[in-house]
Amino acid sequence: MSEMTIGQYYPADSFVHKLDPRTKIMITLLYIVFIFTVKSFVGYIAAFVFLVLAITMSKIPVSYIIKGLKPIMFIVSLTIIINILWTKGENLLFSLGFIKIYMEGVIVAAKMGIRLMLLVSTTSIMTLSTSTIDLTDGMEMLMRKVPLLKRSAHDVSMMMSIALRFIPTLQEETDRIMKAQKSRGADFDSGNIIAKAKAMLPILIPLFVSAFQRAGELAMAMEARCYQGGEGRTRMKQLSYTKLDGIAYAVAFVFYALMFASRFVNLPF
Amino acid sequence: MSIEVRNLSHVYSLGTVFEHTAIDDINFDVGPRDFIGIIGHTGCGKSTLIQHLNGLLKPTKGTVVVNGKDINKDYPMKEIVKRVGIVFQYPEYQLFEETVYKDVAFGPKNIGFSEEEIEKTVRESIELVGLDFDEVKDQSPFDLSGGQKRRVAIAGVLAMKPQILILDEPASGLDPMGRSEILGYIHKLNKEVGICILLVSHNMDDVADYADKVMVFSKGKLVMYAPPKEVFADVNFLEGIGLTAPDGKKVLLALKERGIDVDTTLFRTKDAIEEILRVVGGKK
Repeated sequence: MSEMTIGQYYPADSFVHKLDPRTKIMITLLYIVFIFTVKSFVGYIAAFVFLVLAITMSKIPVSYIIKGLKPIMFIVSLTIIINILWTKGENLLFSLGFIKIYMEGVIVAAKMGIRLMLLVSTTSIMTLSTSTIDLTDGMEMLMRKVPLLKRSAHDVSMMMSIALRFIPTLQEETDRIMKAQKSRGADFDSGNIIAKAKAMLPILIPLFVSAFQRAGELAMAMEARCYQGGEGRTRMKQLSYTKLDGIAYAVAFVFYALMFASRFVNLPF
Repeated sequence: MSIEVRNLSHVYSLGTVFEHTAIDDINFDVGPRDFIGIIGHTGCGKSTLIQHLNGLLKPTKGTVVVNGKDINKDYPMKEIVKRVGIVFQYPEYQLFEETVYKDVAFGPKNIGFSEEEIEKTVRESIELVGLDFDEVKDQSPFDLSGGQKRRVAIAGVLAMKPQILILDEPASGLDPMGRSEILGYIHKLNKEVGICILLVSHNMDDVADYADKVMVFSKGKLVMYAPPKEVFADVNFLEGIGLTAPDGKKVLLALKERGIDVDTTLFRTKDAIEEILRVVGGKK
Protein backbone atom coordinates (compact mmCIF):
# COMPACT_ATOMS: atom_id res chain seq x y z
CA MET A 1 0.00 0.00 0.00
CA SER A 2 2.90 2.36 0.60
CA GLU A 3 3.63 2.23 -3.13
CA MET A 4 1.15 5.03 -3.86
CA THR A 5 2.78 8.31 -4.76
CA ILE A 6 -0.31 10.34 -5.65
CA GLY A 7 -0.97 12.85 -2.91
CA GLN A 8 2.44 12.21 -1.41
CA TYR A 9 4.68 15.17 -0.83
CA TYR A 10 8.42 14.87 -1.36
CA PRO A 11 10.09 17.63 0.64
CA ALA A 12 13.11 19.24 -1.01
CA ASP A 13 14.63 22.65 -1.52
CA SER A 14 14.35 23.22 -5.26
CA PHE A 15 13.26 25.64 -7.93
CA VAL A 16 10.04 23.75 -8.58
CA HIS A 17 9.23 23.49 -4.86
CA LYS A 18 9.54 27.25 -4.51
CA LEU A 19 7.07 28.03 -7.29
CA ASP A 20 3.62 29.30 -6.46
CA PRO A 21 1.15 26.40 -6.52
CA ARG A 22 -1.01 28.29 -9.02
CA THR A 23 1.92 28.40 -11.43
CA LYS A 24 2.50 24.67 -11.11
CA ILE A 25 -1.17 23.87 -11.61
CA MET A 26 -1.48 26.13 -14.65
CA ILE A 27 1.72 24.86 -16.24
CA THR A 28 0.61 21.27 -15.73
CA LEU A 29 -2.88 21.97 -17.11
CA LEU A 30 -1.51 23.72 -20.18
CA TYR A 31 1.01 20.93 -20.68
CA ILE A 32 -1.85 18.45 -20.75
CA VAL A 33 -3.70 20.60 -23.31
CA PHE A 34 -0.67 21.05 -25.54
CA ILE A 35 0.37 17.45 -25.44
CA PHE A 36 -2.90 16.62 -27.17
CA THR A 37 -1.93 18.94 -30.00
CA VAL A 38 1.28 17.04 -30.65
CA LYS A 39 1.10 15.02 -33.84
CA SER A 40 4.66 13.82 -34.45
CA PHE A 41 7.44 12.22 -32.49
CA VAL A 42 9.44 15.45 -32.71
CA GLY A 43 6.77 17.11 -30.57
CA TYR A 44 7.02 14.31 -28.03
CA ILE A 45 10.76 14.87 -27.84
CA ALA A 46 10.07 18.49 -26.86
CA ALA A 47 7.52 17.32 -24.29
CA PHE A 48 9.98 14.78 -22.94
CA VAL A 49 12.80 17.32 -22.64
CA PHE A 50 10.44 19.55 -20.69
CA LEU A 51 9.64 16.64 -18.34
CA VAL A 52 13.33 15.85 -17.81
CA LEU A 53 14.01 19.51 -17.13
CA ALA A 54 11.16 19.64 -14.61
CA ILE A 55 12.40 16.51 -12.83
CA THR A 56 15.94 17.85 -12.64
CA MET A 57 14.80 21.22 -11.36
CA SER A 58 12.57 19.61 -8.73
CA LYS A 59 15.32 17.40 -7.23
CA ILE A 60 12.79 14.58 -6.98
CA PRO A 61 14.46 11.17 -7.51
CA VAL A 62 13.46 9.62 -10.84
CA SER A 63 12.57 6.41 -8.97
CA TYR A 64 9.65 8.28 -7.37
CA ILE A 65 8.28 9.31 -10.76
CA ILE A 66 8.65 5.78 -12.09
CA LYS A 67 6.92 4.40 -9.02
CA GLY A 68 4.04 6.77 -9.77
CA LEU A 69 3.75 5.25 -13.25
CA LYS A 70 3.29 1.71 -11.99
CA PRO A 71 -0.43 1.92 -11.22
CA ILE A 72 -1.23 3.15 -14.75
CA MET A 73 0.88 0.55 -16.55
CA PHE A 74 -2.21 -1.66 -16.93
CA ILE A 75 -4.17 1.09 -18.67
CA VAL A 76 -1.19 1.99 -20.83
CA SER A 77 -0.69 -1.59 -22.00
CA LEU A 78 -4.40 -1.98 -22.66
CA THR A 79 -4.44 1.20 -24.75
CA ILE A 80 -1.41 0.06 -26.70
CA ILE A 81 -2.86 -3.39 -27.41
CA ILE A 82 -6.25 -2.04 -28.50
CA ASN A 83 -4.66 0.54 -30.78
CA ILE A 84 -2.32 -1.97 -32.37
CA LEU A 85 -5.12 -4.45 -33.04
CA TRP A 86 -7.87 -2.10 -34.17
CA THR A 87 -6.15 0.57 -36.23
CA LYS A 88 -6.48 -0.06 -39.96
CA GLY A 89 -3.90 1.24 -42.39
CA GLU A 90 -2.05 0.54 -45.58
CA ASN A 91 1.26 -0.94 -44.52
CA LEU A 92 0.49 -4.45 -43.32
CA LEU A 93 3.22 -5.65 -40.97
CA PHE A 94 1.86 -8.94 -39.78
CA SER A 95 -1.26 -11.02 -40.13
CA LEU A 96 -2.49 -14.18 -38.48
CA GLY A 97 -6.05 -15.21 -39.22
CA PHE A 98 -8.27 -12.28 -38.34
CA ILE A 99 -5.46 -10.42 -36.55
CA LYS A 100 -3.93 -7.82 -38.81
CA ILE A 101 -1.27 -5.44 -37.55
CA TYR A 102 -0.51 -2.32 -39.56
CA MET A 103 2.44 0.04 -39.29
CA GLU A 104 -0.02 2.88 -38.67
CA GLY A 105 -1.44 1.01 -35.68
CA VAL A 106 1.96 0.55 -34.11
CA ILE A 107 2.72 4.26 -34.50
CA VAL A 108 -0.62 5.35 -33.05
CA ALA A 109 -0.20 2.93 -30.15
CA ALA A 110 3.31 4.14 -29.38
CA LYS A 111 2.14 7.76 -29.41
CA MET A 112 -0.77 6.97 -27.08
CA GLY A 113 1.50 5.18 -24.66
CA ILE A 114 4.05 7.97 -24.61
CA ARG A 115 1.31 10.57 -24.19
CA LEU A 116 -0.24 8.83 -21.18
CA MET A 117 3.08 8.33 -19.46
CA LEU A 118 4.10 11.96 -20.02
CA LEU A 119 0.76 13.14 -18.62
CA VAL A 120 1.04 11.11 -15.45
CA SER A 121 4.73 11.87 -14.85
CA THR A 122 4.21 15.60 -15.18
CA THR A 123 1.20 15.55 -12.90
CA SER A 124 3.12 13.58 -10.32
CA ILE A 125 5.92 16.15 -10.32
CA MET A 126 3.28 18.73 -9.47
CA THR A 127 1.84 16.69 -6.59
CA LEU A 128 5.22 15.53 -5.30
CA SER A 129 6.63 19.04 -5.18
CA THR A 130 3.60 20.76 -3.64
CA SER A 131 2.21 20.15 -0.18
CA THR A 132 -1.48 19.30 -0.17
CA ILE A 133 -2.40 22.54 1.58
CA ASP A 134 -0.62 24.62 -1.05
CA LEU A 135 -2.14 22.53 -3.79
CA THR A 136 -5.73 23.00 -2.67
CA ASP A 137 -5.13 26.67 -1.85
CA GLY A 138 -3.82 27.16 -5.36
CA MET A 139 -6.82 25.37 -6.86
CA GLU A 140 -9.22 27.43 -4.83
CA MET A 141 -7.58 30.66 -5.96
CA LEU A 142 -7.64 29.57 -9.59
CA MET A 143 -11.24 28.42 -9.46
CA ARG A 144 -12.29 31.78 -8.05
CA LYS A 145 -11.25 33.30 -11.35
CA VAL A 146 -13.70 31.11 -13.25
CA PRO A 147 -17.23 32.57 -13.20
CA LEU A 148 -19.06 29.22 -13.09
CA LEU A 149 -16.88 27.70 -10.38
CA LYS A 150 -16.59 30.81 -8.26
CA ARG A 151 -19.34 30.00 -5.79
CA SER A 152 -18.28 26.47 -4.98
CA ALA A 153 -14.51 27.08 -5.16
CA HIS A 154 -14.04 26.94 -1.42
CA ASP A 155 -16.22 23.89 -0.84
CA VAL A 156 -14.57 21.92 -3.60
CA SER A 157 -11.09 22.76 -2.41
CA MET A 158 -12.02 21.96 1.19
CA MET A 159 -13.38 18.57 0.13
CA MET A 160 -10.24 17.92 -1.85
CA SER A 161 -7.93 18.87 0.94
CA ILE A 162 -9.85 16.65 3.35
CA ALA A 163 -9.76 13.78 0.89
CA LEU A 164 -6.04 14.21 0.32
CA ARG A 165 -5.43 14.66 4.02
CA PHE A 166 -7.07 11.30 4.71
CA ILE A 167 -5.17 9.29 2.11
CA PRO A 168 -2.20 8.63 4.42
CA THR A 169 -4.49 8.09 7.39
CA LEU A 170 -6.52 5.49 5.55
CA GLN A 171 -3.38 3.90 4.20
CA GLU A 172 -2.03 3.59 7.70
CA GLU A 173 -5.34 2.19 8.86
CA THR A 174 -5.36 -0.35 6.03
CA ASP A 175 -1.85 -1.34 6.92
CA ARG A 176 -2.79 -1.77 10.56
CA ILE A 177 -5.89 -3.83 9.85
CA MET A 178 -3.97 -5.93 7.35
CA LYS A 179 -1.32 -6.69 9.93
CA ALA A 180 -3.94 -7.56 12.53
CA GLN A 181 -5.69 -9.96 10.13
CA LYS A 182 -2.40 -11.45 8.98
CA SER A 183 -1.63 -12.14 12.61
CA ARG A 184 -4.88 -14.07 12.66
CA GLY A 185 -3.68 -16.19 9.79
CA ALA A 186 -5.44 -14.35 6.97
CA ASP A 187 -3.92 -15.03 3.56
CA PHE A 188 -4.18 -12.27 0.95
CA ASP A 189 -1.88 -13.62 -1.69
CA SER A 190 -2.92 -17.11 -2.70
CA GLY A 191 -5.96 -18.49 -4.49
CA ASN A 192 -7.76 -17.31 -7.63
CA ILE A 193 -9.30 -13.91 -8.19
CA ILE A 194 -12.53 -14.73 -6.35
CA ALA A 195 -10.65 -16.10 -3.34
CA LYS A 196 -8.47 -13.02 -3.30
CA ALA A 197 -11.47 -10.69 -3.49
CA LYS A 198 -13.10 -12.56 -0.62
CA ALA A 199 -9.89 -12.31 1.38
CA MET A 200 -10.15 -8.52 1.14
CA LEU A 201 -13.41 -8.45 3.13
CA PRO A 202 -11.72 -8.67 6.55
CA ILE A 203 -9.83 -5.53 5.58
CA LEU A 204 -12.53 -3.59 3.75
CA ILE A 205 -15.31 -3.92 6.30
CA PRO A 206 -13.33 -2.56 9.26
CA LEU A 207 -11.85 0.09 6.98
CA PHE A 208 -15.27 1.34 5.86
CA VAL A 209 -16.63 1.29 9.38
CA SER A 210 -13.78 3.43 10.63
CA ALA A 211 -13.84 5.76 7.61
CA PHE A 212 -17.51 6.56 8.23
CA GLN A 213 -16.82 7.03 11.89
CA ARG A 214 -13.96 9.40 11.13
CA ALA A 215 -16.08 11.37 8.67
CA GLY A 216 -18.79 11.84 11.29
CA GLU A 217 -16.31 12.87 13.94
CA LEU A 218 -14.59 15.32 11.63
CA ALA A 219 -17.90 16.95 10.62
CA MET A 220 -18.80 17.31 14.28
CA ALA A 221 -15.42 18.78 15.16
CA MET A 222 -15.66 21.29 12.30
CA GLU A 223 -19.14 22.37 13.28
CA ALA A 224 -18.09 22.68 16.89
CA ARG A 225 -15.57 25.25 15.72
CA CYS A 226 -18.26 27.10 13.78
CA TYR A 227 -17.11 26.15 10.30
CA GLN A 228 -19.65 27.35 7.75
CA GLY A 229 -17.93 27.39 4.42
CA GLY A 230 -15.80 29.95 2.69
CA GLU A 231 -17.83 33.09 3.29
CA GLY A 232 -15.81 35.75 5.05
CA ARG A 233 -12.98 33.39 5.72
CA THR A 234 -9.51 34.92 5.73
CA ARG A 235 -6.32 32.98 5.27
CA MET A 236 -3.10 32.86 7.21
CA LYS A 237 -0.86 32.15 4.24
CA GLN A 238 -1.36 34.43 1.24
CA LEU A 239 -0.17 33.15 -2.10
CA SER A 240 2.08 35.47 -4.05
CA TYR A 241 3.88 35.25 -7.38
CA THR A 242 7.63 35.84 -7.53
CA LYS A 243 10.22 36.24 -10.24
CA LEU A 244 10.66 32.46 -10.31
CA ASP A 245 7.07 32.04 -11.50
CA GLY A 246 7.74 34.35 -14.41
CA ILE A 247 10.80 32.32 -15.42
CA ALA A 248 8.85 29.06 -15.13
CA TYR A 249 6.01 30.38 -17.31
CA ALA A 250 8.46 31.68 -19.91
CA VAL A 251 10.29 28.33 -20.13
CA ALA A 252 7.02 26.43 -20.24
CA PHE A 253 5.67 28.58 -23.09
CA VAL A 254 8.79 27.99 -25.16
CA PHE A 255 8.15 24.29 -24.89
CA TYR A 256 4.43 24.65 -25.58
CA ALA A 257 5.33 26.54 -28.72
CA LEU A 258 7.73 23.80 -29.78
CA MET A 259 5.15 21.12 -29.10
CA PHE A 260 2.49 22.98 -31.07
CA ALA A 261 4.85 23.91 -33.91
CA SER A 262 5.78 20.27 -34.39
CA ARG A 263 2.34 19.85 -36.03
CA PHE A 264 3.50 21.79 -39.03
CA VAL A 265 6.82 20.06 -39.49
CA ASN A 266 6.51 17.47 -42.20
CA LEU A 267 8.26 14.30 -41.19
CA PRO A 268 7.70 10.69 -42.26
CA PHE A 269 6.33 9.88 -38.76
CA MET B 1 8.11 -21.84 24.06
CA SER B 2 10.95 -19.40 24.04
CA ILE B 3 12.03 -16.40 22.00
CA GLU B 4 15.61 -15.43 21.31
CA VAL B 5 16.28 -12.13 19.62
CA ARG B 6 19.79 -11.43 18.38
CA ASN B 7 21.24 -8.17 16.98
CA LEU B 8 17.81 -7.16 15.71
CA SER B 9 17.69 -3.85 13.82
CA HIS B 10 15.01 -2.35 11.64
CA VAL B 11 15.35 0.66 9.38
CA TYR B 12 12.25 2.10 7.69
CA SER B 13 12.43 3.49 4.12
CA LEU B 14 16.07 2.52 3.77
CA GLY B 15 17.89 4.73 1.30
CA THR B 16 15.31 7.55 1.02
CA VAL B 17 14.90 10.92 2.72
CA PHE B 18 12.43 9.25 5.06
CA GLU B 19 15.03 6.78 6.37
CA HIS B 20 14.53 6.12 10.05
CA THR B 21 16.07 3.56 12.40
CA ALA B 22 13.25 2.25 14.56
CA ILE B 23 15.10 -0.39 16.55
CA ASP B 24 18.82 -0.78 16.86
CA ASP B 25 20.74 -3.91 17.80
CA ILE B 26 18.26 -5.52 20.18
CA ASN B 27 19.19 -8.68 22.10
CA PHE B 28 17.05 -10.59 24.58
CA ASP B 29 15.65 -13.97 25.61
CA VAL B 30 12.14 -14.73 26.75
CA GLY B 31 11.51 -18.02 28.52
CA PRO B 32 8.34 -20.14 28.63
CA ARG B 33 5.61 -18.92 31.01
CA ASP B 34 7.29 -15.53 31.43
CA PHE B 35 5.18 -12.44 31.95
CA ILE B 36 7.18 -9.60 30.44
CA GLY B 37 6.27 -5.93 30.55
CA ILE B 38 7.55 -3.70 27.77
CA ILE B 39 7.75 0.02 28.50
CA GLY B 40 9.16 3.02 26.69
CA HIS B 41 8.32 6.51 25.57
CA THR B 42 6.13 6.94 22.43
CA GLY B 43 8.14 6.24 19.29
CA CYS B 44 10.81 4.21 21.07
CA GLY B 45 10.36 1.21 18.79
CA LYS B 46 8.09 -1.03 20.88
CA SER B 47 5.54 -1.53 18.11
CA THR B 48 8.24 -2.20 15.53
CA LEU B 49 9.79 -4.79 17.80
CA ILE B 50 6.62 -6.77 18.41
CA GLN B 51 5.87 -6.92 14.69
CA HIS B 52 9.14 -8.77 14.23
CA LEU B 53 8.13 -11.44 16.69
CA ASN B 54 5.52 -12.97 14.38
CA GLY B 55 7.14 -12.18 11.06
CA LEU B 56 4.99 -9.19 10.04
CA LEU B 57 8.14 -7.16 9.61
CA LYS B 58 11.38 -8.60 8.33
CA PRO B 59 14.50 -7.54 10.17
CA THR B 60 16.94 -5.24 8.39
CA LYS B 61 19.59 -7.06 10.39
CA GLY B 62 19.57 -9.82 13.01
CA THR B 63 17.43 -12.84 13.81
CA VAL B 64 14.31 -13.79 15.72
CA VAL B 65 14.30 -17.40 16.91
CA VAL B 66 11.11 -18.95 18.28
CA ASN B 67 11.48 -22.41 19.81
CA GLY B 68 14.89 -22.93 18.25
CA LYS B 69 13.79 -21.99 14.73
CA ASP B 70 14.45 -18.76 12.86
CA ILE B 71 10.99 -17.42 12.08
CA ASN B 72 12.11 -15.76 8.89
CA LYS B 73 13.69 -18.90 7.49
CA ASP B 74 12.22 -22.03 9.03
CA TYR B 75 8.53 -21.16 9.42
CA PRO B 76 5.83 -20.28 6.91
CA MET B 77 3.68 -17.34 8.17
CA LYS B 78 0.81 -19.64 9.19
CA GLU B 79 3.06 -21.69 11.46
CA ILE B 80 4.35 -18.58 13.22
CA VAL B 81 0.93 -17.10 13.92
CA LYS B 82 -0.10 -20.44 15.43
CA ARG B 83 2.59 -19.98 18.02
CA VAL B 84 2.84 -16.22 18.45
CA GLY B 85 -0.42 -14.24 18.77
CA ILE B 86 -0.45 -10.46 18.62
CA VAL B 87 -3.26 -8.31 19.94
CA PHE B 88 -2.70 -4.87 18.44
CA GLN B 89 -3.71 -1.55 19.91
CA TYR B 90 -7.47 -0.98 19.64
CA PRO B 91 -8.03 -4.51 18.34
CA GLU B 92 -11.79 -3.87 18.11
CA TYR B 93 -11.05 -2.15 14.77
CA GLN B 94 -10.27 -5.52 13.22
CA LEU B 95 -13.74 -7.01 13.83
CA PHE B 96 -15.62 -7.64 10.60
CA GLU B 97 -17.86 -10.70 10.71
CA GLU B 98 -21.64 -10.85 11.09
CA THR B 99 -21.54 -12.63 14.42
CA VAL B 100 -19.17 -12.79 17.34
CA TYR B 101 -18.82 -16.54 16.87
CA LYS B 102 -17.72 -16.21 13.25
CA ASP B 103 -15.28 -13.45 14.07
CA VAL B 104 -13.58 -15.37 16.84
CA ALA B 105 -13.51 -18.44 14.57
CA PHE B 106 -11.72 -16.52 11.78
CA GLY B 107 -8.21 -17.13 13.14
CA PRO B 108 -8.52 -20.83 14.01
CA LYS B 109 -10.21 -21.47 10.66
CA ASN B 110 -7.35 -19.80 8.78
CA ILE B 111 -4.73 -21.94 10.46
CA GLY B 112 -6.61 -25.14 9.75
CA PHE B 113 -8.46 -26.16 12.92
CA SER B 114 -11.23 -28.75 12.40
CA GLU B 115 -14.92 -27.83 12.93
CA GLU B 116 -15.05 -29.45 16.39
CA GLU B 117 -11.79 -27.85 17.43
CA ILE B 118 -13.05 -24.47 16.29
CA GLU B 119 -16.28 -24.77 18.25
CA LYS B 120 -14.40 -25.79 21.37
CA THR B 121 -11.71 -23.14 21.15
CA VAL B 122 -14.18 -20.34 20.34
CA ARG B 123 -16.29 -21.19 23.38
CA GLU B 124 -13.23 -21.43 25.61
CA SER B 125 -11.69 -18.16 24.47
CA ILE B 126 -14.92 -16.19 24.73
CA GLU B 127 -15.35 -17.48 28.26
CA LEU B 128 -11.67 -16.82 29.07
CA VAL B 129 -12.17 -13.11 28.41
CA GLY B 130 -15.16 -13.06 30.70
CA LEU B 131 -18.08 -13.01 28.25
CA ASP B 132 -21.11 -15.30 28.24
CA PHE B 133 -20.70 -17.53 25.19
CA ASP B 134 -24.40 -18.30 24.65
CA GLU B 135 -25.38 -14.69 25.07
CA VAL B 136 -22.92 -13.08 22.65
CA LYS B 137 -22.20 -15.74 20.05
CA ASP B 138 -24.97 -14.75 17.64
CA GLN B 139 -24.74 -11.00 18.20
CA SER B 140 -23.14 -8.69 15.69
CA PRO B 141 -19.76 -7.55 17.03
CA PHE B 142 -20.70 -4.01 15.98
CA ASP B 143 -23.61 -3.98 18.45
CA LEU B 144 -21.42 -4.63 21.47
CA SER B 145 -20.07 -2.02 23.87
CA GLY B 146 -16.48 -0.82 23.54
CA GLY B 147 -15.18 -3.03 26.33
CA GLN B 148 -17.01 -6.08 25.00
CA LYS B 149 -15.66 -5.49 21.49
CA ARG B 150 -12.18 -5.36 22.90
CA ARG B 151 -12.73 -8.69 24.63
CA VAL B 152 -14.11 -10.32 21.52
CA ALA B 153 -11.08 -9.12 19.58
CA ILE B 154 -8.72 -10.53 22.18
CA ALA B 155 -10.69 -13.79 22.15
CA GLY B 156 -10.16 -13.88 18.39
CA VAL B 157 -6.43 -14.13 18.94
CA LEU B 158 -6.67 -16.44 21.94
CA ALA B 159 -8.77 -18.87 19.93
CA MET B 160 -5.71 -19.68 17.84
CA LYS B 161 -4.13 -21.10 20.98
CA PRO B 162 -0.82 -19.27 20.79
CA GLN B 163 1.81 -20.20 23.33
CA ILE B 164 3.18 -16.69 23.22
CA LEU B 165 0.75 -13.80 23.42
CA ILE B 166 1.84 -10.23 22.73
CA LEU B 167 -0.53 -7.43 23.71
CA ASP B 168 -0.04 -3.80 22.68
CA GLU B 169 -1.83 -1.55 25.18
CA PRO B 170 -4.72 -3.97 25.66
CA ALA B 171 -6.40 -1.78 28.26
CA SER B 172 -6.05 1.67 26.69
CA GLY B 173 -9.26 3.63 26.39
CA LEU B 174 -11.16 1.37 28.80
CA ASP B 175 -12.71 2.50 32.07
CA PRO B 176 -10.83 1.53 35.28
CA MET B 177 -13.09 -1.46 35.86
CA GLY B 178 -12.67 -2.82 32.33
CA ARG B 179 -8.98 -2.15 32.60
CA SER B 180 -8.38 -4.22 35.71
CA GLU B 181 -10.67 -6.97 34.41
CA ILE B 182 -8.83 -7.32 31.11
CA LEU B 183 -5.46 -7.31 32.83
CA GLY B 184 -6.78 -9.81 35.36
CA TYR B 185 -7.71 -12.23 32.55
CA ILE B 186 -4.29 -11.80 30.98
CA HIS B 187 -2.67 -12.54 34.32
CA LYS B 188 -4.83 -15.64 34.65
CA LEU B 189 -3.84 -16.80 31.16
CA ASN B 190 -0.23 -16.60 32.19
CA LYS B 191 -0.53 -18.25 35.60
CA GLU B 192 -3.22 -20.85 34.89
CA VAL B 193 -2.95 -21.67 31.20
CA GLY B 194 0.81 -21.08 31.09
CA ILE B 195 0.86 -18.75 28.09
CA CYS B 196 3.94 -16.57 27.82
CA ILE B 197 2.83 -12.92 27.85
CA LEU B 198 4.52 -9.82 26.49
CA LEU B 199 2.57 -6.78 27.62
CA VAL B 200 3.35 -3.44 25.99
CA SER B 201 2.04 -0.59 28.10
CA HIS B 202 2.34 3.11 28.83
CA ASN B 203 0.90 2.52 32.23
CA MET B 204 3.64 1.84 34.78
CA ASP B 205 1.12 0.54 37.32
CA ASP B 206 -0.01 -2.26 35.00
CA VAL B 207 3.53 -3.34 34.32
CA ALA B 208 4.56 -3.09 37.99
CA ASP B 209 1.52 -5.06 39.13
CA TYR B 210 1.73 -7.97 36.72
CA ALA B 211 5.11 -8.37 35.03
CA ASP B 212 7.83 -10.73 36.28
CA LYS B 213 10.42 -8.97 34.15
CA VAL B 214 10.45 -5.61 32.41
CA MET B 215 12.05 -4.43 29.18
CA VAL B 216 12.75 -0.71 28.97
CA PHE B 217 13.16 0.80 25.52
CA SER B 218 14.54 4.20 24.69
CA LYS B 219 15.20 5.61 21.22
CA GLY B 220 15.22 2.19 19.58
CA LYS B 221 17.50 0.55 22.10
CA LEU B 222 16.78 -1.97 24.84
CA VAL B 223 18.29 -0.07 27.75
CA MET B 224 17.22 -2.35 30.59
CA TYR B 225 15.83 -5.85 31.00
CA ALA B 226 15.37 -6.77 34.63
CA PRO B 227 12.77 -7.66 37.29
CA PRO B 228 10.44 -4.73 38.07
CA LYS B 229 12.02 -4.18 41.47
CA GLU B 230 15.30 -3.25 39.79
CA VAL B 231 13.73 -1.33 36.93
CA PHE B 232 11.62 0.86 39.20
CA ALA B 233 14.47 1.34 41.73
CA ASP B 234 16.05 4.14 39.72
CA VAL B 235 13.28 6.66 39.23
CA ASN B 236 15.63 9.38 37.98
CA PHE B 237 16.80 7.17 35.17
CA LEU B 238 13.22 6.38 34.15
CA GLU B 239 12.25 10.03 34.17
CA GLY B 240 15.28 10.83 32.05
CA ILE B 241 13.91 8.68 29.24
CA GLY B 242 10.37 9.98 29.47
CA LEU B 243 8.93 7.35 31.81
CA THR B 244 7.94 7.49 35.45
CA ALA B 245 7.51 5.36 38.57
CA PRO B 246 4.27 3.50 39.34
CA ASP B 247 1.80 5.62 41.32
CA GLY B 248 2.09 3.52 44.49
CA LYS B 249 5.83 3.94 44.54
CA LYS B 250 5.48 7.69 43.96
CA VAL B 251 3.34 7.98 47.08
CA LEU B 252 5.88 6.00 49.10
CA LEU B 253 8.72 8.20 47.85
CA ALA B 254 6.78 11.35 48.73
CA LEU B 255 6.11 10.02 52.23
CA LYS B 256 9.77 9.18 52.68
CA GLU B 257 10.69 12.71 51.65
CA ARG B 258 8.45 14.02 54.41
CA GLY B 259 10.35 11.94 56.95
CA ILE B 260 7.98 9.00 57.27
CA ASP B 261 9.79 5.69 57.43
CA VAL B 262 8.37 3.57 54.60
CA ASP B 263 9.87 0.87 52.44
CA THR B 264 10.41 2.60 49.08
CA THR B 265 11.58 -0.55 47.32
CA LEU B 266 7.95 -1.65 46.98
CA PHE B 267 6.45 -0.98 43.56
CA ARG B 268 3.18 -2.96 43.25
CA THR B 269 0.05 -0.95 43.95
CA LYS B 270 -1.20 -3.59 46.38
CA ASP B 271 2.07 -3.68 48.34
CA ALA B 272 2.24 0.10 48.46
CA ILE B 273 -1.29 0.31 49.89
CA GLU B 274 -0.41 -2.23 52.58
CA GLU B 275 2.76 -0.35 53.45
CA ILE B 276 0.87 2.91 53.79
CA LEU B 277 -1.79 1.25 55.93
CA ARG B 278 0.97 -0.21 58.09
CA VAL B 279 2.58 3.14 58.84
CA VAL B 280 -0.68 4.96 59.47
CA GLY B 281 -1.70 2.10 61.73
CA GLY B 282 -4.81 1.18 59.84
CA LYS B 283 -5.95 -2.38 59.66
CA LYS B 284 -6.09 -4.53 56.60
